[in-house]
Amino acid sequence: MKKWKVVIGTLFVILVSIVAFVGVYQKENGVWRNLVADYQYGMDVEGARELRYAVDDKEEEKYVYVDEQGNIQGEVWKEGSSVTQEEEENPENAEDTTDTENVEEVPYAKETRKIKVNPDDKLTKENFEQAKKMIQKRLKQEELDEYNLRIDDVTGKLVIESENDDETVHLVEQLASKPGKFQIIDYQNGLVLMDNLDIKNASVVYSNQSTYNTYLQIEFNKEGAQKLKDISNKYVEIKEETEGEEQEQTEENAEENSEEEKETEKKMVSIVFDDDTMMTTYFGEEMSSGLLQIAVGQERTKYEDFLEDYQSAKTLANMINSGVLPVTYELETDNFVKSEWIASKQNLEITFFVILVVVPAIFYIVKFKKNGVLAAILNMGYIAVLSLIFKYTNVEMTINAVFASILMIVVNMAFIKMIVKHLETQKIGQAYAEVSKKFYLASIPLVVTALVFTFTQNYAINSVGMVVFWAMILNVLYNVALTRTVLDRED
Amino acid sequence: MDINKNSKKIVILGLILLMIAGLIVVALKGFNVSLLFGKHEAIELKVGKEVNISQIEEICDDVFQDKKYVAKELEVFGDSLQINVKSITDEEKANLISKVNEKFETEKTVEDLNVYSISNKRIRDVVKPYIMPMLLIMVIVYIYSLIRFRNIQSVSLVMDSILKMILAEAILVSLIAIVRIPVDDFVIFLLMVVVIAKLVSFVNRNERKLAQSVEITNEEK
Repeated sequence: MKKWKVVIGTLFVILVSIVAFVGVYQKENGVWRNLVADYQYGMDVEGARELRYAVDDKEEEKYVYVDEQGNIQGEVWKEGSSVTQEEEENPENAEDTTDTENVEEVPYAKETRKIKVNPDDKLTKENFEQAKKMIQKRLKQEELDEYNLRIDDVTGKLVIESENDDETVHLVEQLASKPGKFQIIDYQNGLVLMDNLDIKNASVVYSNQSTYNTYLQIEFNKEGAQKLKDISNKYVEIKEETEGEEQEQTEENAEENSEEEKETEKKMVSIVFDDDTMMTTYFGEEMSSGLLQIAVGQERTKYEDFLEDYQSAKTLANMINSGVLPVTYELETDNFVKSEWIASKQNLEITFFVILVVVPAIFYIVKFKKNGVLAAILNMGYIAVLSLIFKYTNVEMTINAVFASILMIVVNMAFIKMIVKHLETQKIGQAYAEVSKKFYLASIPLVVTALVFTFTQNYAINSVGMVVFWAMILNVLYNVALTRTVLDRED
Repeated sequence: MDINKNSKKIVILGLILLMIAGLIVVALKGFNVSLLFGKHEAIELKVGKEVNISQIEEICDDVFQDKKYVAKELEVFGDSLQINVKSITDEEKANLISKVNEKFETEKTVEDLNVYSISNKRIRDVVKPYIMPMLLIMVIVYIYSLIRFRNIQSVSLVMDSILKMILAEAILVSLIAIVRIPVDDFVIFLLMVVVIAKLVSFVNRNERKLAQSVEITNEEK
């Protein structure tokens, strides 16, 4: 019975080793395809998307409001569109001939200024450093950990290496290049009514009754809440009819309704994020809570569509919360750069096989003869099962994780060696009990490392944690199930 | 006994000197960082024909001579490359282009080379994510040890281990600085591995001590 156990155990180990190292092939459309999954490599092994950013050096002439201190208070607008000084002075030349009678007089001077996206005095080492920290904060908020960020504190040039996934890259691009400027602007004249300084916090809320609706919820600070209250009372639909007349009108037909429109005046605001108008609206009631909800996307019936809206709103909230970037960046290049390791991947795999399977096998056989042969097979089996676990549990194989795997394989080799050595004087049961007690008590720091690293967000540390975690679990299960069985020989 | 004491003193003095030397090197010259970790130039070229890295490495060996470089494939089409080198001169650019043209029968010019300056990675940025997890691991293991080895003067054992751990890391860092080992993410990771290895060895050693003390107690009984 014992002999059969040994034979079956050994055959099982050899079979698993063949599956892991050689693969299982099936012919598909005339091509042999390995059915065994491949490793999921980290960007330091496979390669990364390299996004290079330069400081945006664009300069634009703008017609703006300027206060007494010379600070810009907004761009001169007419019904949501910016106008030049020339267009304002000679309205007959302008393409848009919107009636400007109702535009409120603004208590600021107007002048045409050349405005740089990044004024020279902003291009300082401190601001570059600050921008880097803010981008890192944004990436962290989005739970993006697989990246490298370098900044040149003289030129301000920024390089972000990110994993090669289009969705992730798109998100990284947004987080690095969007300044995060939130403004509520008078739609009629372009005066900035509120901005990031008035915001306390931004978050995402949603409702899901019959449809999913996503909102960006802006919570204003005390000063901002007061401003919002004032704005909500001012930017409304002003109806010129009396209440009685209104009631009569509800009974009238649609034609008369259109007539009513002519008799109302709407004072509107535009909600603008990074110079893109999110919405233009007026307030239906006084906003006294200091909260403003802005719809993101549309009413959604599909959960997947809602998730997209939710993610967009989350990114917006993240950018608002991180503050306005002191430097605005412009994407220069976006390339996928293969790592220097990937070209020699096959050679490395062969080298690892020789170091971890062949060399220990020679050592085991020379030192322990018959038991050494079984120890060599068991060592190979452990590596095979571990590699299959890594492939099917999506452990990200970073360079650190590969190194950690090698260390854990060496740890298991030491375990098998200790058992085989004890077998010279003891039976397997006693040898296993003694060795495992010593071994697992000494391995407590490894178990702690596995747990702490696994719950760490940083991808390079997390991948090591996963490797140590699976290697320790397998060490226990594999040795109790196979090592004990295969080495249980009567002689 | 005296010889032992003296040799111990010499070793301690040697280690202190090593650490001072390491500090001086770091203060004056900083660490020697690896090519990709440090500030360097990335030269990109679309050859337009299938290239493999070994061919490019042959060309780079000729062009850059003793200079360190790292050649990588750019994009997935196999016709573009990126060469990372500390700095590149105009002469090297011309030489590189001429050799590429010769090898791949292309008609590229120096203007086709895109040279980007890549700033350095900061060692503190790479070390920072490890600090909290490593401290947490040490705290957990040492608390466990205080309880587990309470019968064999666990407090002094733990204090001794912490001191030795700090010394070991300081010596290693000094060696890295003095020997000018190129620092990269992997070297920093290895420093963390040393901490964990020392923790394993600490627990293992004290398990043996504990077993011996239990044996002695049993014998006495």
